[in-house]
Amino acid sequence: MTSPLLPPERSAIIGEPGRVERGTSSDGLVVSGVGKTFRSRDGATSALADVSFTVPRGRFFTIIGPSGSGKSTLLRIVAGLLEADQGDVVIFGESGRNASANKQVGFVPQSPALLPWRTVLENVRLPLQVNRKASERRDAPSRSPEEILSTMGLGDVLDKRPAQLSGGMQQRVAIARAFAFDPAILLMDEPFSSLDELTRELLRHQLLDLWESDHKTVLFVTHSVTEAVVLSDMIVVMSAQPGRVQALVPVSLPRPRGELVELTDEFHAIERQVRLELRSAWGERSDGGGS
Amino acid sequence: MSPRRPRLSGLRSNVWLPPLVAFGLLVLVWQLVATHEPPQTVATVPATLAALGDRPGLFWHDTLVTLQEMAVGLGASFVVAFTLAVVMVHVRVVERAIMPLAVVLNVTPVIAYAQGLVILFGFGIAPRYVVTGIIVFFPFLVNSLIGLRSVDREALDVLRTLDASRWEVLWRLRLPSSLPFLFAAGRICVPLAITGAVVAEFTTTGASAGLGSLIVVASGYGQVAVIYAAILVLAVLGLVLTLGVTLLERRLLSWHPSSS
Repeated sequence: MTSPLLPPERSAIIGEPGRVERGTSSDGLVVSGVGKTFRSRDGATSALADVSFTVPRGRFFTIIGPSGSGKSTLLRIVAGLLEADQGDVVIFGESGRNASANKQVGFVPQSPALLPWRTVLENVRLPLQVNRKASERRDAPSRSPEEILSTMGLGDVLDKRPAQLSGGMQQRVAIARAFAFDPAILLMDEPFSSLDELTRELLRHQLLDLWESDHKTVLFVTHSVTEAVVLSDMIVVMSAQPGRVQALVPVSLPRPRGELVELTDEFHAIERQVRLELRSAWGERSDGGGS
Repeated sequence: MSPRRPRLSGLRSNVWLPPLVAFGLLVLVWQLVATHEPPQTVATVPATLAALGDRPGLFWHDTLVTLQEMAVGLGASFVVAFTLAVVMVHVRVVERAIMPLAVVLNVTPVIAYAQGLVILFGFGIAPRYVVTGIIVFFPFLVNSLIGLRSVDREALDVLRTLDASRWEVLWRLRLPSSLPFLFAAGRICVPLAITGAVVAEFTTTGASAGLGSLIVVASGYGQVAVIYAAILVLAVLGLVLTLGVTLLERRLLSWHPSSS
Protein backbone atom coordinates (compact mmCIF):
# COMPACT_ATOMS: atom_id res chain seq x y z
CA MET A 1 0.00 0.00 0.00
CA THR A 2 1.17 3.52 -0.75
CA SER A 3 0.67 6.20 1.81
CA PRO A 4 -1.70 8.89 0.60
CA LEU A 5 -3.60 8.59 3.88
CA LEU A 6 -0.63 8.63 6.17
CA PRO A 7 -0.29 11.69 8.34
CA PRO A 8 2.36 14.02 6.97
CA GLU A 9 4.93 13.45 9.71
CA ARG A 10 4.79 9.71 8.99
CA SER A 11 5.16 10.34 5.25
CA ALA A 12 8.21 12.43 5.98
CA ILE A 13 9.71 9.65 8.09
CA ILE A 14 9.22 6.87 5.58
CA GLY A 15 10.05 9.07 2.61
CA GLU A 16 13.06 8.02 0.55
CA PRO A 17 15.63 10.56 -0.56
CA GLY A 18 14.85 12.03 -3.96
CA ARG A 19 11.22 11.08 -3.77
CA VAL A 20 8.50 13.67 -3.83
CA GLU A 21 6.32 13.49 -0.76
CA ARG A 22 2.85 14.88 -0.59
CA GLY A 23 3.78 18.04 1.28
CA THR A 24 4.95 18.48 4.80
CA SER A 25 1.94 20.12 6.36
CA SER A 26 -1.62 19.10 6.94
CA ASP A 27 -2.73 21.73 4.45
CA GLY A 28 -3.65 20.27 1.12
CA LEU A 29 -4.43 23.46 -0.73
CA VAL A 30 -3.83 26.99 0.44
CA VAL A 31 -5.41 29.79 -1.58
CA SER A 32 -4.30 33.14 -0.22
CA GLY A 33 -5.36 36.57 -1.37
CA VAL A 34 -6.01 35.47 -4.94
CA GLY A 35 -7.24 38.20 -7.28
CA LYS A 36 -7.81 38.20 -11.00
CA THR A 37 -8.86 40.95 -13.39
CA PHE A 38 -9.62 40.33 -17.05
CA ARG A 39 -8.76 43.22 -19.31
CA SER A 40 -10.27 43.77 -22.72
CA ARG A 41 -10.90 46.70 -25.03
CA ASP A 42 -14.16 47.40 -23.19
CA GLY A 43 -12.35 47.82 -19.91
CA ALA A 44 -11.36 45.69 -16.97
CA THR A 45 -13.56 43.11 -15.25
CA SER A 46 -12.59 42.04 -11.79
CA ALA A 47 -13.30 38.31 -11.61
CA LEU A 48 -11.83 37.48 -8.22
CA ALA A 49 -10.79 39.66 -5.30
CA ASP A 50 -8.85 38.59 -2.25
CA VAL A 51 -10.01 34.96 -2.21
CA SER A 52 -8.49 32.96 0.62
CA PHE A 53 -9.26 29.56 2.10
CA THR A 54 -7.44 26.40 3.04
CA VAL A 55 -8.44 22.87 2.14
CA PRO A 56 -6.92 20.46 4.67
CA ARG A 57 -5.43 17.24 3.35
CA GLY A 58 -8.02 14.64 2.51
CA ARG A 59 -10.98 17.02 2.62
CA PHE A 60 -13.69 17.54 0.02
CA PHE A 61 -14.35 21.25 -0.56
CA THR A 62 -16.98 22.58 -2.90
CA ILE A 63 -17.16 26.06 -4.39
CA ILE A 64 -20.66 27.29 -5.10
CA GLY A 65 -21.79 30.68 -6.27
CA PRO A 66 -23.90 32.58 -8.77
CA SER A 67 -22.81 32.98 -12.37
CA GLY A 68 -19.98 35.46 -12.59
CA SER A 69 -18.62 34.62 -9.17
CA GLY A 70 -15.40 33.42 -10.74
CA LYS A 71 -15.73 29.79 -9.60
CA SER A 72 -14.21 28.35 -12.74
CA THR A 73 -11.62 31.12 -12.90
CA LEU A 74 -10.53 30.23 -9.39
CA LEU A 75 -10.33 26.54 -10.24
CA ARG A 76 -8.29 27.31 -13.36
CA ILE A 77 -5.89 29.39 -11.29
CA VAL A 78 -5.50 26.53 -8.80
CA ALA A 79 -4.97 24.14 -11.73
CA GLY A 80 -2.19 26.37 -13.05
CA LEU A 81 -4.12 27.04 -16.27
CA LEU A 82 -4.43 30.73 -15.48
CA GLU A 83 -2.12 33.16 -13.68
CA ALA A 84 -3.46 35.05 -10.67
CA ASP A 85 -2.83 38.80 -10.62
CA GLN A 86 -2.52 38.83 -6.85
CA GLY A 87 -2.01 36.22 -4.17
CA ASP A 88 -0.81 32.69 -4.56
CA VAL A 89 -1.76 29.04 -4.49
CA VAL A 90 0.17 26.37 -2.62
CA ILE A 91 -0.63 22.70 -3.17
CA PHE A 92 0.89 20.38 -0.56
CA GLY A 93 3.71 22.79 0.07
CA GLU A 94 4.46 23.35 -3.62
CA SER A 95 3.57 26.21 -5.93
CA GLY A 96 0.70 25.38 -8.28
CA ARG A 97 3.17 25.29 -11.17
CA ASN A 98 5.43 22.75 -9.44
CA ALA A 99 2.46 20.67 -8.36
CA SER A 100 1.47 20.32 -12.03
CA ALA A 101 5.05 19.58 -13.04
CA ASN A 102 5.07 16.78 -10.44
CA LYS A 103 1.73 15.44 -11.67
CA GLN A 104 -0.03 16.16 -8.40
CA VAL A 105 -3.07 17.82 -9.97
CA GLY A 106 -5.97 15.82 -11.37
CA PHE A 107 -8.31 17.98 -13.43
CA VAL A 108 -11.85 17.06 -14.47
CA PRO A 109 -13.24 19.67 -16.89
CA GLN A 110 -16.89 20.49 -17.57
CA SER A 111 -17.05 18.32 -20.67
CA PRO A 112 -15.51 14.83 -20.49
CA ALA A 113 -12.81 15.96 -23.00
CA LEU A 114 -11.97 12.36 -23.89
CA LEU A 115 -9.82 11.68 -26.93
CA PRO A 116 -12.26 10.17 -29.45
CA TRP A 117 -9.62 8.02 -31.17
CA ARG A 118 -8.68 6.27 -27.93
CA THR A 119 -10.65 3.55 -26.22
CA VAL A 120 -11.98 4.03 -22.69
CA LEU A 121 -8.97 2.24 -21.19
CA GLU A 122 -6.50 4.15 -23.39
CA ASN A 123 -8.10 7.42 -22.33
CA VAL A 124 -7.70 6.56 -18.66
CA ARG A 125 -4.09 5.55 -19.30
CA LEU A 126 -3.29 8.90 -20.96
CA PRO A 127 -2.10 10.66 -17.77
CA LEU A 128 0.29 7.77 -17.12
CA GLN A 129 1.77 8.14 -20.60
CA VAL A 130 2.61 11.85 -20.53
CA ASN A 131 5.23 13.56 -18.35
CA ARG A 132 6.71 10.19 -17.39
CA LYS A 133 9.60 11.83 -15.59
CA ALA A 134 7.19 13.04 -12.90
CA SER A 135 5.77 9.51 -12.57
CA GLU A 136 9.24 8.08 -12.07
CA ARG A 137 9.79 10.41 -9.13
CA ARG A 138 6.82 9.03 -7.23
CA ASP A 139 5.20 5.78 -6.19
CA ALA A 140 3.18 3.89 -8.74
CA PRO A 141 -0.57 4.44 -8.37
CA SER A 142 -2.11 2.01 -5.91
CA ARG A 143 -4.88 1.06 -8.32
CA SER A 144 -4.65 0.21 -11.99
CA PRO A 145 -6.81 2.02 -14.58
CA GLU A 146 -8.78 -1.22 -15.01
CA GLU A 147 -9.54 -1.36 -11.28
CA ILE A 148 -10.68 2.25 -11.16
CA LEU A 149 -12.84 1.76 -14.23
CA SER A 150 -14.50 -1.28 -12.77
CA THR A 151 -15.14 0.58 -9.48
CA MET A 152 -16.92 3.16 -11.64
CA GLY A 153 -19.00 0.40 -13.24
CA LEU A 154 -17.15 0.65 -16.55
CA GLY A 155 -15.45 -2.74 -16.50
CA ASP A 156 -17.42 -3.89 -19.52
CA VAL A 157 -16.64 -1.00 -21.82
CA LEU A 158 -12.84 -0.83 -21.60
CA ASP A 159 -12.41 -1.27 -25.35
CA LYS A 160 -15.23 0.99 -26.45
CA ARG A 161 -14.65 4.38 -27.99
CA PRO A 162 -16.11 7.44 -26.20
CA ALA A 163 -18.67 8.01 -28.98
CA GLN A 164 -20.19 4.63 -28.13
CA LEU A 165 -20.92 5.68 -24.54
CA SER A 166 -23.66 7.82 -23.00
CA GLY A 167 -22.83 11.27 -21.62
CA GLY A 168 -22.90 9.96 -18.06
CA MET A 169 -20.51 7.12 -18.88
CA GLN A 170 -18.15 9.50 -20.66
CA GLN A 171 -18.07 11.72 -17.59
CA ARG A 172 -17.31 8.69 -15.42
CA VAL A 173 -14.37 7.88 -17.72
CA ALA A 174 -13.16 11.46 -17.28
CA ILE A 175 -13.29 11.06 -13.50
CA ALA A 176 -11.50 7.71 -13.71
CA ARG A 177 -8.83 9.41 -15.83
CA ALA A 178 -8.24 11.97 -13.07
CA PHE A 179 -8.00 9.26 -10.38
CA ALA A 180 -5.79 6.98 -12.49
CA PHE A 181 -2.45 8.62 -11.82
CA ASP A 182 -3.13 9.11 -8.12
CA PRO A 183 -2.73 12.89 -7.94
CA ALA A 184 -2.52 14.63 -4.57
CA ILE A 185 -5.46 16.89 -5.35
CA LEU A 186 -8.47 16.64 -7.62
CA LEU A 187 -9.96 19.74 -9.21
CA MET A 188 -13.41 19.27 -10.70
CA ASP A 189 -15.09 22.00 -12.71
CA GLU A 190 -18.86 21.31 -12.72
CA PRO A 191 -18.29 17.85 -14.12
CA PHE A 192 -21.96 16.87 -13.91
CA SER A 193 -23.48 20.08 -15.23
CA SER A 194 -24.38 18.70 -18.66
CA LEU A 195 -26.06 15.55 -17.34
CA ASP A 196 -29.70 14.86 -16.55
CA GLU A 197 -30.77 14.87 -12.90
CA LEU A 198 -30.98 11.09 -12.49
CA THR A 199 -27.54 10.54 -13.96
CA ARG A 200 -26.17 13.33 -11.81
CA GLU A 201 -27.44 11.64 -8.66
CA LEU A 202 -25.95 8.32 -9.69
CA LEU A 203 -22.59 9.88 -10.51
CA ARG A 204 -22.53 11.87 -7.30
CA HIS A 205 -22.72 8.69 -5.28
CA GLN A 206 -20.23 6.86 -7.48
CA LEU A 207 -17.82 9.73 -6.99
CA LEU A 208 -18.40 9.49 -3.25
CA ASP A 209 -17.73 5.73 -3.30
CA LEU A 210 -14.50 6.28 -5.18
CA TRP A 211 -13.52 9.12 -2.87
CA GLU A 212 -14.29 7.11 0.28
CA SER A 213 -11.67 4.57 -0.73
CA ASP A 214 -8.73 6.97 -0.54
CA HIS A 215 -10.00 10.36 0.69
CA LYS A 216 -8.25 12.53 -1.82
CA THR A 217 -8.14 16.28 -1.35
CA VAL A 218 -10.82 17.64 -3.67
CA LEU A 219 -11.88 21.07 -4.86
CA PHE A 220 -15.19 20.75 -6.67
CA VAL A 221 -17.12 23.50 -8.45
CA THR A 222 -20.88 23.22 -8.83
CA HIS A 223 -24.11 25.15 -9.35
CA SER A 224 -26.15 22.62 -7.43
CA VAL A 225 -26.72 23.15 -3.72
CA THR A 226 -27.82 19.53 -3.20
CA GLU A 227 -24.71 18.26 -4.93
CA ALA A 228 -22.54 20.51 -2.77
CA VAL A 229 -24.09 19.28 0.47
CA VAL A 230 -24.05 15.59 -0.49
CA LEU A 231 -20.39 15.64 -1.45
CA SER A 232 -18.59 18.13 0.73
CA ASP A 233 -16.90 18.58 4.05
CA MET A 234 -16.99 22.33 3.50
CA ILE A 235 -18.87 24.57 1.09
CA VAL A 236 -17.20 27.78 -0.06
CA VAL A 237 -20.01 30.17 -1.04
CA MET A 238 -18.83 32.85 -3.46
CA SER A 239 -20.40 36.24 -4.16
CA ALA A 240 -20.34 37.73 -7.62
CA GLN A 241 -18.38 40.44 -9.42
CA PRO A 242 -15.84 40.32 -8.16
CA GLY A 243 -15.88 36.81 -6.79
CA ARG A 244 -15.17 36.79 -3.07
CA VAL A 245 -15.64 34.23 -0.36
CA GLN A 246 -19.09 35.01 1.00
CA ALA A 247 -19.16 32.24 3.59
CA LEU A 248 -17.68 28.90 4.52
CA VAL A 249 -20.42 26.43 5.39
CA PRO A 250 -19.20 23.26 7.11
CA VAL A 251 -21.07 20.03 6.30
CA SER A 252 -20.92 17.79 9.34
CA LEU A 253 -23.04 14.95 7.96
CA PRO A 254 -21.60 11.54 8.84
CA ARG A 255 -19.68 9.60 6.23
CA PRO A 256 -19.99 7.41 4.29
CA ARG A 257 -23.06 9.14 2.97
CA GLY A 258 -25.61 6.92 1.31
CA GLU A 259 -28.45 8.06 -0.89
CA LEU A 260 -30.73 8.38 2.15
CA VAL A 261 -28.64 11.22 3.54
CA GLU A 262 -30.63 13.64 1.42
CA LEU A 263 -33.78 12.81 3.44
CA THR A 264 -32.38 13.84 6.83
CA ASP A 265 -33.29 17.07 8.64
CA GLU A 266 -29.65 17.90 9.11
CA PHE A 267 -29.12 17.75 5.36
CA HIS A 268 -32.02 20.12 4.74
CA ALA A 269 -30.79 22.52 7.41
CA ILE A 270 -27.39 22.79 5.73
CA GLU A 271 -29.01 23.09 2.32
CA ARG A 272 -31.14 25.95 3.64
CA GLN A 273 -28.12 27.67 5.10
CA VAL A 274 -26.25 27.48 1.79
CA ARG A 275 -29.27 28.82 -0.08
CA LEU A 276 -29.52 31.76 2.32
CA GLU A 277 -25.85 32.52 1.85
CA LEU A 278 -26.26 32.31 -1.91
CA ARG A 279 -29.24 34.66 -1.75
CA SER A 280 -27.26 37.25 0.13
CA ALA A 281 -24.39 36.71 -2.30
CA TRP A 282 -26.75 37.84 -5.05
CA GLY A 283 -27.50 41.03 -3.14
CA GLU A 284 -25.20 43.87 -2.25
CA ARG A 285 -21.81 42.85 -0.98
CA SER A 286 -22.44 44.84 2.20
CA ASP A 287 -25.55 42.76 2.92
CA GLY A 288 -23.68 39.48 3.02
CA GLY A 289 -21.98 38.28 6.14
CA GLY A 290 -19.79 35.34 7.00
CA SER A 291 -21.33 32.42 8.76
CA MET B 1 -22.30 -2.85 -30.95
CA SER B 2 -20.72 -0.66 -33.57
CA PRO B 3 -22.41 -0.79 -36.95
CA ARG B 4 -20.41 -2.58 -39.60
CA ARG B 5 -19.12 -0.19 -42.19
CA PRO B 6 -20.30 -1.20 -45.66
CA ARG B 7 -17.57 -2.64 -47.84
CA LEU B 8 -17.43 -1.52 -51.43
CA SER B 9 -18.47 -4.96 -52.70
CA GLY B 10 -21.39 -5.02 -50.31
CA LEU B 11 -22.90 -1.76 -51.48
CA ARG B 12 -26.49 -1.94 -52.51
CA SER B 13 -27.45 -1.51 -56.18
CA ASN B 14 -29.09 1.86 -55.51
CA VAL B 15 -25.64 3.08 -54.54
CA TRP B 16 -23.57 1.87 -57.47
CA LEU B 17 -26.21 1.83 -60.21
CA PRO B 18 -26.80 5.61 -60.71
CA PRO B 19 -23.12 6.52 -61.23
CA LEU B 20 -22.69 3.49 -63.48
CA VAL B 21 -25.59 4.62 -65.67
CA ALA B 22 -24.17 8.17 -65.77
CA PHE B 23 -20.75 6.82 -66.83
CA GLY B 24 -22.41 4.65 -69.44
CA LEU B 25 -24.22 7.68 -70.85
CA LEU B 26 -20.97 9.67 -70.93
CA VAL B 27 -19.23 6.93 -72.93
CA LEU B 28 -22.25 6.73 -75.23
CA VAL B 29 -22.24 10.48 -75.91
CA TRP B 30 -18.48 10.37 -76.46
CA GLN B 31 -18.87 7.57 -78.99
CA LEU B 32 -21.77 9.35 -80.76
CA VAL B 33 -19.81 12.59 -81.05
CA ALA B 34 -16.67 10.77 -82.19
CA THR B 35 -18.46 8.88 -84.95
CA HIS B 36 -19.93 12.14 -86.31
CA GLU B 37 -16.68 14.08 -86.17
CA PRO B 38 -13.64 13.60 -88.41
CA PRO B 39 -11.27 10.99 -86.87
CA GLN B 40 -8.44 13.55 -86.57
CA THR B 41 -10.48 15.67 -84.07
CA VAL B 42 -12.05 13.13 -81.69
CA ALA B 43 -11.01 9.52 -81.15
CA THR B 44 -13.75 6.92 -80.84
CA VAL B 45 -13.98 4.71 -77.76
CA PRO B 46 -12.66 1.60 -79.57
CA ALA B 47 -9.80 3.64 -81.13
CA THR B 48 -8.83 4.96 -77.71
CA LEU B 49 -8.86 1.49 -76.18
CA ALA B 50 -6.89 0.17 -79.18
CA ALA B 51 -4.24 2.89 -78.66
CA LEU B 52 -3.95 1.75 -75.06
CA GLY B 53 -3.77 -1.93 -76.02
CA ASP B 54 -1.21 -1.36 -78.78
CA ARG B 55 1.45 0.06 -76.51
CA PRO B 56 0.65 -0.79 -72.90
CA GLY B 57 4.34 -0.53 -71.96
CA LEU B 58 4.53 3.07 -73.14
CA PHE B 59 1.47 4.12 -71.13
CA TRP B 60 2.65 2.19 -68.10
CA HIS B 61 6.06 3.87 -68.22
CA ASP B 62 4.56 7.35 -68.64
CA THR B 63 2.05 6.69 -65.85
CA LEU B 64 4.90 5.74 -63.53
CA VAL B 65 6.77 8.94 -64.41
CA THR B 66 3.71 11.11 -63.72
CA LEU B 67 3.02 9.14 -60.55
CA GLN B 68 6.60 9.68 -59.40
CA GLU B 69 6.30 13.44 -60.00
CA MET B 70 3.09 13.48 -58.01
CA ALA B 71 4.48 11.38 -55.18
CA VAL B 72 7.61 13.48 -54.77
CA GLY B 73 5.74 16.80 -55.19
CA LEU B 74 2.92 15.79 -52.82
CA GLY B 75 5.21 14.19 -50.27
CA ALA B 76 7.75 17.01 -50.10
CA SER B 77 5.04 19.66 -50.09
CA PHE B 78 3.17 17.92 -47.29
CA VAL B 79 6.29 17.57 -45.14
CA VAL B 80 7.22 21.24 -45.62
CA ALA B 81 3.63 22.51 -45.16
CA PHE B 82 2.95 20.39 -42.08
CA THR B 83 6.27 21.28 -40.44
CA LEU B 84 5.62 24.94 -41.14
CA ALA B 85 2.11 24.61 -39.69
CA VAL B 86 3.55 23.06 -36.51
CA VAL B 87 5.94 26.00 -36.17
CA MET B 88 3.12 28.46 -36.91
CA VAL B 89 0.93 26.95 -34.19
CA HIS B 90 3.65 27.57 -31.64
CA VAL B 91 5.19 30.80 -32.94
CA ARG B 92 2.54 33.27 -34.05
CA VAL B 93 5.01 35.65 -35.69
CA VAL B 94 6.02 32.95 -38.20
CA GLU B 95 2.39 32.63 -39.27
CA ARG B 96 2.12 36.39 -39.73
CA ALA B 97 5.27 36.40 -41.84
CA ILE B 98 4.67 33.30 -43.97
CA MET B 99 0.91 33.28 -44.55
CA PRO B 100 0.81 36.28 -46.90
CA LEU B 101 3.59 34.69 -48.97
CA ALA B 102 1.65 31.44 -49.15
CA VAL B 103 -1.46 33.35 -50.25
CA VAL B 104 0.47 35.10 -53.04
CA LEU B 105 1.84 31.74 -54.15
CA ASN B 106 -1.67 30.32 -54.15
CA VAL B 107 -3.41 33.12 -56.07
CA THR B 108 -0.78 33.33 -58.82
CA PRO B 109 -1.67 30.84 -61.57
CA VAL B 110 0.94 28.11 -61.51
CA ILE B 111 0.88 27.83 -65.29
CA ALA B 112 2.07 31.44 -65.49
CA TYR B 113 5.29 30.86 -63.61
CA ALA B 114 5.87 27.22 -64.55
CA GLN B 115 7.95 28.36 -67.53
CA GLY B 116 10.09 30.51 -65.24
CA LEU B 117 10.65 27.53 -62.93
CA VAL B 118 11.71 25.40 -65.89
CA ILE B 119 14.34 27.97 -66.86
CA LEU B 120 15.44 28.18 -63.22
CA PHE B 121 15.59 24.44 -62.50
CA GLY B 122 16.53 23.15 -65.95
CA PHE B 123 14.53 20.94 -68.29
CA GLY B 124 14.82 17.78 -66.25
CA ILE B 125 12.33 16.35 -63.78
CA ALA B 126 13.17 18.83 -60.97
CA PRO B 127 10.84 21.65 -62.13
CA ARG B 128 8.03 19.09 -62.35
CA TYR B 129 8.47 18.26 -58.67
CA VAL B 130 8.52 21.94 -57.83
CA VAL B 131 5.37 22.82 -59.81
CA THR B 132 3.47 19.84 -58.37
CA GLY B 133 4.66 20.73 -54.89
CA ILE B 134 3.68 24.39 -55.18
CA ILE B 135 0.17 23.68 -56.45
CA VAL B 136 -0.67 21.50 -53.41
CA PHE B 137 1.24 23.55 -50.85
CA PHE B 138 -1.48 25.99 -49.85
CA PRO B 139 -4.29 23.51 -49.19
CA PHE B 140 -1.87 21.38 -47.17
CA LEU B 141 -0.65 24.37 -45.17
CA VAL B 142 -4.08 25.80 -44.39
CA ASN B 143 -5.62 22.44 -43.51
CA SER B 144 -2.65 21.46 -41.34
CA LEU B 145 -2.89 24.75 -39.51
CA ILE B 146 -6.65 24.51 -38.92
CA GLY B 147 -6.30 20.85 -37.97
CA LEU B 148 -3.52 21.43 -35.45
CA ARG B 149 -5.53 24.25 -33.91
CA SER B 150 -8.84 22.40 -33.79
CA VAL B 151 -8.10 20.65 -30.53
CA ASP B 152 -10.60 20.13 -27.74
CA ARG B 153 -9.66 22.99 -25.42
CA GLU B 154 -10.58 21.07 -22.31
CA ALA B 155 -8.53 18.06 -23.38
CA LEU B 156 -5.66 20.51 -23.85
CA ASP B 157 -6.33 21.78 -20.30
CA VAL B 158 -6.13 18.22 -18.97
CA LEU B 159 -2.76 17.74 -20.67
CA ARG B 160 -1.51 21.09 -19.40
CA THR B 161 -2.39 20.22 -15.80
CA LEU B 162 -0.23 17.13 -16.31
CA ASP B 163 2.59 19.39 -17.50
CA ALA B 164 2.71 17.52 -20.81
CA SER B 165 5.50 18.80 -23.07
CA ARG B 166 4.77 20.54 -26.37
CA TRP B 167 5.92 17.42 -28.14
CA GLU B 168 3.49 15.27 -26.10
CA VAL B 169 0.63 17.66 -26.82
CA LEU B 170 1.54 17.59 -30.51
CA TRP B 171 1.86 13.83 -30.72
CA ARG B 172 -1.02 12.79 -28.48
CA LEU B 173 -3.55 15.55 -29.14
CA ARG B 174 -2.84 17.94 -32.01
CA LEU B 175 -1.73 15.41 -34.60
CA PRO B 176 -4.68 12.99 -34.21
CA SER B 177 -7.08 15.95 -34.02
CA SER B 178 -5.70 17.26 -37.31
CA LEU B 179 -6.11 13.97 -39.22
CA PRO B 180 -9.64 14.68 -40.51
CA PHE B 181 -8.36 17.98 -41.91
CA LEU B 182 -5.28 16.35 -43.42
CA PHE B 183 -7.42 13.78 -45.20
CA ALA B 184 -9.73 16.52 -46.48
CA ALA B 185 -6.59 18.21 -47.83
CA GLY B 186 -5.49 14.90 -49.34
CA ARG B 187 -8.73 14.55 -51.25
CA ILE B 188 -8.28 18.06 -52.66
CA CYS B 189 -4.55 17.73 -53.31
CA VAL B 190 -4.43 14.42 -55.21
CA PRO B 191 -6.36 15.79 -58.22
CA LEU B 192 -4.47 19.09 -57.89
CA ALA B 193 -1.16 17.23 -57.96
CA ILE B 194 -2.18 15.48 -61.20
CA THR B 195 -2.94 18.90 -62.70
CA GLY B 196 0.40 20.19 -61.41
CA ALA B 197 2.34 17.26 -62.84
CA VAL B 198 0.64 17.50 -66.24
CA VAL B 199 1.06 21.29 -66.45
CA ALA B 200 4.74 20.85 -65.59
CA GLU B 201 5.09 18.18 -68.26
CA PHE B 202 3.46 20.47 -70.83
CA THR B 203 6.12 23.09 -70.17
CA THR B 204 9.06 20.68 -69.89
CA THR B 205 8.59 18.46 -72.91
CA GLY B 206 12.37 18.29 -73.11
CA ALA B 207 12.20 15.52 -70.56
CA SER B 208 9.90 13.54 -72.77
CA ALA B 209 8.16 11.18 -70.39
CA GLY B 210 4.98 11.38 -68.39
CA LEU B 211 1.37 11.36 -69.54
CA GLY B 212 1.35 15.15 -70.07
CA SER B 213 4.43 14.95 -72.29
CA LEU B 214 2.82 12.06 -74.14
CA ILE B 215 -0.20 14.29 -74.90
CA VAL B 216 2.03 17.08 -76.23
CA VAL B 217 4.09 14.71 -78.37
CA ALA B 218 1.01 12.86 -79.66
CA SER B 219 -0.72 16.12 -80.59
CA GLY B 220 2.41 17.07 -82.58
CA TYR B 221 1.97 13.88 -84.61
CA GLY B 222 -1.83 14.15 -84.82
CA GLN B 223 -2.32 10.90 -82.86
CA VAL B 224 -5.72 11.77 -81.42
CA ALA B 225 -6.34 8.26 -80.05
CA VAL B 226 -3.12 8.41 -78.00
CA ILE B 227 -4.18 11.79 -76.56
CA TYR B 228 -7.56 10.35 -75.54
CA ALA B 229 -5.94 7.24 -74.13
CA ALA B 230 -3.57 9.38 -72.03
CA ILE B 231 -6.51 11.45 -70.73
CA LEU B 232 -8.34 8.22 -69.87
CA VAL B 233 -5.31 6.93 -67.94
CA LEU B 234 -5.03 10.27 -66.08
CA ALA B 235 -8.72 10.06 -65.10
CA VAL B 236 -8.32 6.49 -63.86
CA LEU B 237 -5.14 7.46 -62.01
CA GLY B 238 -6.93 10.31 -60.24
CA LEU B 239 -9.86 8.08 -59.40
CA VAL B 240 -7.71 5.27 -57.99
CA LEU B 241 -5.60 7.64 -55.88
CA THR B 242 -8.62 9.51 -54.52
CA LEU B 243 -10.26 6.18 -53.70
CA GLY B 244 -7.05 5.15 -51.94
CA VAL B 245 -7.12 8.29 -49.80
CA THR B 246 -10.78 7.67 -48.95
CA LEU B 247 -10.15 4.05 -47.96
CA LEU B 248 -7.16 5.03 -45.82
CA GLU B 249 -9.28 7.73 -44.21
CA ARG B 250 -11.99 5.23 -43.33
CA ARG B 251 -9.43 2.96 -41.80
CA LEU B 252 -7.62 5.58 -39.76
CA LEU B 253 -10.59 7.76 -38.89
CA SER B 254 -13.10 5.14 -37.82
CA TRP B 255 -13.50 7.21 -34.62
CA HIS B 256 -14.48 10.36 -36.47
CA PRO B 257 -18.18 11.23 -36.93
CA SER B 258 -17.58 11.80 -40.67
CA SER B 259 -16.90 8.10 -41.22
CA SER B 260 -20.15 6.79 -39.77
